[in-house]
Amino acid sequence: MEYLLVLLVILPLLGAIIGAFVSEGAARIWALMVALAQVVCGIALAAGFDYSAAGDLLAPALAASRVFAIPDIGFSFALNVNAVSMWLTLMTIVLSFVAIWFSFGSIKDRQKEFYAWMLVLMGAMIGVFLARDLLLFYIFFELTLIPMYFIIGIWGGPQKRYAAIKFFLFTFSGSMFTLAGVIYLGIFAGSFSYADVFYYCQHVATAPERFLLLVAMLCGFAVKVPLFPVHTWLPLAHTEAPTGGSVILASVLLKLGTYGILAIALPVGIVGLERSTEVVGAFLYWPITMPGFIKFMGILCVIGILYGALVAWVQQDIKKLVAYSSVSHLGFCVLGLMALNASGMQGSVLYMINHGINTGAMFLVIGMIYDRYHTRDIHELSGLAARMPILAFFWIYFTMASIGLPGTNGFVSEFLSILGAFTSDSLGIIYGVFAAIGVLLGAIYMLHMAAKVIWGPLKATVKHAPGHEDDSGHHAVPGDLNGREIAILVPLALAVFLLGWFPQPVMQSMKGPLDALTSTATYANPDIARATPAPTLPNPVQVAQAEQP
Amino acid sequence: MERFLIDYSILIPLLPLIGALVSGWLMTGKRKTGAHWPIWLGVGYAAVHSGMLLQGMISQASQAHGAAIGFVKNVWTWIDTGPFVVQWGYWLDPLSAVMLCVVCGIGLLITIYAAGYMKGEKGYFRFFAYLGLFIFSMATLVMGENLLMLYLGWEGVGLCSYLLIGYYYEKPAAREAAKKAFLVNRIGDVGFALGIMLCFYAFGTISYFGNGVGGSDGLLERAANLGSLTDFQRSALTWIPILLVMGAFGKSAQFPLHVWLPDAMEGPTPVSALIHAATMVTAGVYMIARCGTLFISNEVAMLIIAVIGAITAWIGATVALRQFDLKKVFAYSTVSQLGYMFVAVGVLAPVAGVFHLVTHAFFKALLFLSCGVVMHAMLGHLDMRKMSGLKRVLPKTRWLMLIGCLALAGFPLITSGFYSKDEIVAAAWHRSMILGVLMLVIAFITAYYTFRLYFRVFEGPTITPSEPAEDHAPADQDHAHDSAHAHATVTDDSATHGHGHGHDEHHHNHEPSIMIVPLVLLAIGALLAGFLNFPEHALGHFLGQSSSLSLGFEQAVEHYNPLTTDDAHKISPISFGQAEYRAASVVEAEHYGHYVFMIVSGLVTLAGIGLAYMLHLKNRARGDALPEKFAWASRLLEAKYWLDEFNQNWVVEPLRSLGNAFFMIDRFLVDGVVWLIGFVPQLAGFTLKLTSQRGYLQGYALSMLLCITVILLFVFGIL
Repeated sequence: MEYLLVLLVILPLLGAIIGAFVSEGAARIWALMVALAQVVCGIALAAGFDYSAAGDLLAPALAASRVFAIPDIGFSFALNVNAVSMWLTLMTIVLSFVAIWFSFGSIKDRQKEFYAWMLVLMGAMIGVFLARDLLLFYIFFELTLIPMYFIIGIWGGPQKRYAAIKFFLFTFSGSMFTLAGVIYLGIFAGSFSYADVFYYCQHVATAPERFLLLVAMLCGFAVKVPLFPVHTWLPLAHTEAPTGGSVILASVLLKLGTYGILAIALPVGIVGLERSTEVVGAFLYWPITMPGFIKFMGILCVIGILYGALVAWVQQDIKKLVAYSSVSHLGFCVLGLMALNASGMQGSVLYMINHGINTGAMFLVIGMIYDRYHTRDIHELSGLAARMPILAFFWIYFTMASIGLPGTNGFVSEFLSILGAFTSDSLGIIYGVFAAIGVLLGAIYMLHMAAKVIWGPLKATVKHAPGHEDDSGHHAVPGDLNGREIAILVPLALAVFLLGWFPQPVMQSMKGPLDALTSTATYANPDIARATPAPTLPNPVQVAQAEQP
Repeated sequence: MERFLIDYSILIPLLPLIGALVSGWLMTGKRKTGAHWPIWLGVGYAAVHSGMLLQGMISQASQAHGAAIGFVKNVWTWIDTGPFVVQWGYWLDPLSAVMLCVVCGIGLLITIYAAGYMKGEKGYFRFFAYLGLFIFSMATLVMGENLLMLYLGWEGVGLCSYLLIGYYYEKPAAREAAKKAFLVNRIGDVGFALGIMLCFYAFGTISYFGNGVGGSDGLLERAANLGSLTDFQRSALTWIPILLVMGAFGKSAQFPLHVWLPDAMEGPTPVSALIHAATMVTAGVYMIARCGTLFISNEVAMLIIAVIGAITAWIGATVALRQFDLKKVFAYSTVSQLGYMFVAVGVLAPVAGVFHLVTHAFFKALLFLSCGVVMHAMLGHLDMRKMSGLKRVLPKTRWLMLIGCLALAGFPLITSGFYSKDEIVAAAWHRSMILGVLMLVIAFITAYYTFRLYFRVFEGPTITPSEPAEDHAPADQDHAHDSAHAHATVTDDSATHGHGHGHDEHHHNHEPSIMIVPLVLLAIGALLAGFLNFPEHALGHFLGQSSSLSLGFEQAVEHYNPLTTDDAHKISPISFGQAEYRAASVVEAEHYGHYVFMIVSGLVTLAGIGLAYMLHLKNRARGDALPEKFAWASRLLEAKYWLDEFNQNWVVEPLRSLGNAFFMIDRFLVDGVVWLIGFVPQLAGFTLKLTSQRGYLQGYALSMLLCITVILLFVFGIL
């Protein structure tokens, strides 16, 4: 198992390097082969997985893998897996595979680089989910930026440079604060391993200290998610990125943020404090308590849900519409997390997976239209059902999954997230009510788009993208989906059905890890995984507190 | 009852679903002419299974001697988060068995009819796939053992309704109507979903009667136990009915959410019959009857339901007066009849509501399908101003339509509509005299507009439209009779024989037996279904053996306490299908009152038919002059009370403006603030560049380090 985990992370990175020596024409086949190998590894992981495990599968000593470690600063290449990580890893593998395969039809120039960056991205994203060392997590978290920056900047649309820079600066400046928090924790917890860090936070650190660390962590994660006020990088990046990039961006990269909140921000800053009335900070002399802060986060989520949905409704560009829908959907996801109860958190993790499938599929379908008509303007496309019935089927199918029709995967996670908020001690009924209004708005913008693009009288003129003049020799009417495109969509469609009708096996396996995550007892033993003895630095917090009065 | 009927009850929804998948995926292209077979087989099986289930349930019920019966079958655990447990399971009792028979039985007849009606359509396979999906959803809705299964079917039928209204998707009107139907329903569904959540929050389960996994008792039992409710449960019970009923108002087209149903007539006619008249729109009535114990103790909610039902019945009936499209008339009449059913459940007479649901399913399906025959024969025309005297062109349809119209009008003694409507009127009268009189007035209007249509279209001199309607059969040109009857024109009495031989090769039977035979069966139902509950209350007592109704009755007795207070007349055991326990004199008085009602409402119906005869057959000129006499009323009704305009101007447009405003905010304000913040490091970097650093990489590294240091210092300093 431990080698499998290492393989999952290293294989795509190695594949990217080897891909540099492959000829331009074979690069895409190579990338697909690597992705296929990853699929095999993923199947092996799922097959050998212990679904009843309550937490990480490997013993901490094994997890602190012997691949690489710097004991002096408490860093080690620690990988481990629990059910949450495993499901998210599987989702990453499948969607990366799909995105790479899809790009066969749409990426025409500088293929070698493109597929190399896609593989790097894949490895880094899997690394984030499997890392059990805070510094390692951070390295992978940031490593995703570089390939994405190039994917948007080189193969993107007309505003690609601006979009790439904006994307990079936004997420990077957010994660600067996270890095500060990581370094702080590394110093005071004695090592970067999750066990030490969480032990330090939950059993040593003071409440105000934890609150500031939480804020530092959230600065990075909230931008990535993205939560309401810091979401403006997302529509642009999604719209400008090539389809393969948009799929990865929406399906997996955003989940790094939510996963960060779940797996790091929660145990660092919230677990154990969620009911405490201790004042942990002040904002403009307003005292902040942890329940108050959770409510504040909940309000941001609800605003994001309604705001994102309403803005999505008025978009002209269908890709931008789906991009804004992500702002709305991720609001549900984080709202479920902030509910801090079983229904909300299980719903939220399921939401991460489902949003990856549904929105990824929506971007793929939009990409398939774009490859044919070179337009995404809602007014230039109409009645595609008449010309492309198979595409229309998939479009309506994934639309329904996206608006959470019962029987699809979207329903289970959306309902549970709202139910979690509704019945939560930390949030309350009113949050559930406003989030439910978002369900209505979600149907409005998705059906608005379907009515414009799929239904109605046929209207679609083939435009030709600049730089593709060679295509314009023949003005053949584009046909329906080809075999490759159908093969790409079918697994996602199957997942929509299976997770809609039989979500219980997935949710059952997540129960243990989520319970462990939200319990202060999990990290009660300081020596659980310590590779090096903790340095005996004076605790500056206590010193500072001693000086204050 | 044979156990396998319960154990394999999942086949009832599943086989139509499999049929839908086969039709939709495999029966495309050249094979599409056989696309109805998978659906016929699937729905046929479901109908047979439902019938056997009903039969078994009846024998079981007679053995139980009035005690409640019900069977649960859990198939798998759908969702289990710990506290929140939902089984994928089915609950079968008299209520669901009756509903299943209506859904699958009428569904089967309509799928058979549709094979004739939709013949030659381009999207033939698609149509049948949607129908199969619909039967799956509707069966799930009525069989589900908990509120979430009900919700699954609830939204599923919404999806099918969306797809089927938008079946002619190239027509912008169909596309808009489909979207409107889904979204208006969604408004209600949001309330419904919140209601489910509140049920779970307050009672800890959403299974109706306990699923045998968690607690032994279910939501409805816990809610019925008024004595042991906590304060929170009590206050939840003031909100739960209002939230749940929002969903019912949407699905069953009650004011103000009824606006989608008339537009839904853009769909093919069999769909209007099956979904928008017989089955789907009655889901709200079923839900309220099923969840009675959540509603009954809440007098405000019951009053709201009754009043909204009455308003809806009024709006539907009056707007139908000024409609000319046959299907639109029947659509508004459906709105109106659904209003009647809501009045019934609102005045604590769920049996009357379900009884009317059953009879209405028969006669309204009959009416819509007859409309379909007319539409087929009249080249897609449905405007009653363009046709007259069709009894000579469509002799069989004329009799079928007459039966349907009589049943809808509530013609005394020989039609089912008479008995079921009468029960509702009587129940409303017992509750409040105003409501009862209003119901009678609406019954009069109903009889009038129904026979206005009948007399205009089927009686009088023969007129048939000569040109095909513009949007007739838009999808496909091999629709057989487009060209064949383009020459049909104003004909006299001998027309049907007269225009025979000259173009016999084009001659197309207007009334193919594949379409007529299902109609005959429906007509028999429309005539005889009334005797299900009269004079013996057989249906009522059978339904009363569903726990929903018997618990509801106990709760009503406990809450309204009819033996001691003046409210005694409000609770009639018969209304809940329960055995009589009151004094013989009370019962006798009630019966006597009931017969008086029958006479009164029969006379009212006859008066309505008579008025229609005067104005629309005997002297049509007088009828034509009527709108000018009452110009303002006519305008109000033709504008449908301006509800669509109101919604567009006061709901849709403001929301969209809000979206635009938010988009502006997003582009300028939020982005601007972020840009300003981004400007600070730029400034810092600029000063840094001036003072020390010239290199690029080092510069970034240094500023990064500086930033971290500043942040760390900040962290330490503030503590």
